Amino acid sequence: MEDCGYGIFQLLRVGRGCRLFAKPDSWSVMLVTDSPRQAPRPPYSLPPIIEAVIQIVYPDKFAASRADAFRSKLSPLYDSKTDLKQVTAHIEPERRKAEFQDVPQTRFASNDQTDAIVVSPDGLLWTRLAPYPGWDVFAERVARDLKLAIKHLSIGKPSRIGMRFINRIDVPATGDVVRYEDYLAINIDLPPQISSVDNYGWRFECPFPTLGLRAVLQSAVVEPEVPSHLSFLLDIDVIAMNELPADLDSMLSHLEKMRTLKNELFELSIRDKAREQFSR
Amino acid sequence: MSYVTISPAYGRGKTRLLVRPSSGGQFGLRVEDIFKPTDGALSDDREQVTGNTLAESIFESLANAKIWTSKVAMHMDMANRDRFFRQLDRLHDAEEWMEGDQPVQLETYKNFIRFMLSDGRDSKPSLALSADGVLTAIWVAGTDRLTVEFQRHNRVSWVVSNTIGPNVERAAGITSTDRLLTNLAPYEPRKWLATK
Repeated sequence: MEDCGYGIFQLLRVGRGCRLFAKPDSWSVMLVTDSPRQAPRPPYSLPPIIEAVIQIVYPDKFAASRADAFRSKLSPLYDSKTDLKQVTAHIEPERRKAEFQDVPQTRFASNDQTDAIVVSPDGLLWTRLAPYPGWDVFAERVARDLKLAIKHLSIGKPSRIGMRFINRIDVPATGDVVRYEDYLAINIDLPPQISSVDNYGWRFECPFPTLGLRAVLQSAVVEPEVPSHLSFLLDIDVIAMNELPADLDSMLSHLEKMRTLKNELFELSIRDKAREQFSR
Repeated sequence: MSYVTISPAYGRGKTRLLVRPSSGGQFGLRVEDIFKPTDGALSDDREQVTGNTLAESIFESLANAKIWTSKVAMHMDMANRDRFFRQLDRLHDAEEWMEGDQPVQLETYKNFIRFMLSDGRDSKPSLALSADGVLTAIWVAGTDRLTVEFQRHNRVSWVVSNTIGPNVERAAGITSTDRLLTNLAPYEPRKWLATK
């Protein structure tokens, strides 16, 4: 077993200029080339994360008095508190019927709006917007709030834990052409008869049964926010729905496992040219 | 070789984004989601429960400007971002708010930040807000002053005041944001915009 740059893997075979690794009891196989020039490795100085999300959903709604107590404990930890409503629509076109449901939520946020927690009737959602300060800082806040939630909400096992990291890769639009595949390792395999398309979008789901996790990966061209750049999203959503723990330490371990998978998927999805963008 | 053709938003010519056919891609877009994605702050299906108070209206505009800033924060110096936020906070002090004034319009704020990312560099303008929520930036170098009002739709109005010997020379214009530096070229704009 050795560190191949993406985690601890078992070395299977050494080839000319490359090594093949695998992770026992897991899904991962990794081909690592011995590049003479090492590309940057995480943690990156300029991570492309525009939003990091951790969501914990419970099977039952919180008791109103307990939710109030929890919200009162959160208030001093954040700079602002805002009441929100999430609007959900159920549309049945064949019956010409539409039903709207308002779900009340409370959002606590830092003054710069980058750190927030949204308390729903049956769930908690933490977000961190850019600039991303790193996992340790994000996880510390989640652990702090989750400890309060477990104490004051008297909650049991969640029904779902989600960890979503939305990355936006901004590529300088120098010259006439920007090669998309230089940045993303997962590409759309177009037949030669289709020589050009406007924009792109892909999405796939992959199960990881041994980890008890499922991942949804999406990518698409998006409208650039920065002048003279082209942008595309790489959205990685790792979901746990089976045999979830209830106590704080086990929950944090579970989040760590999800984060490891998320990082591996991210590293598998990008190329060195993207890594260089994140480490300027 | 195939490619994606897109039109960049900032008018610096048409750029093509290449997609090389490869064996690694799968086209997986689905109409329905079996698993609802984990949502977040940038989701657009939430709305603030507005009490229609002045303070709530100001807070919402300010929060929207800060949330949008996070989308370009990886291209900004943290100290610059914090300085803009402090100025925005000060401009939106609810206790000193005049009745009828509008908080910052997000589109004018975006216009300003995008200019700073492309041409403003590390300069340190002072910010002002008009009664209708349009953001104005003021750069001062000695006795020379550049004032730019960042409007919606990538438009700017600018006024220059330059001291040439014993005389004060003034000029003004209206243009698009990406042509601002070209308009200002006779007045040596780097003395304002390259100031560290």
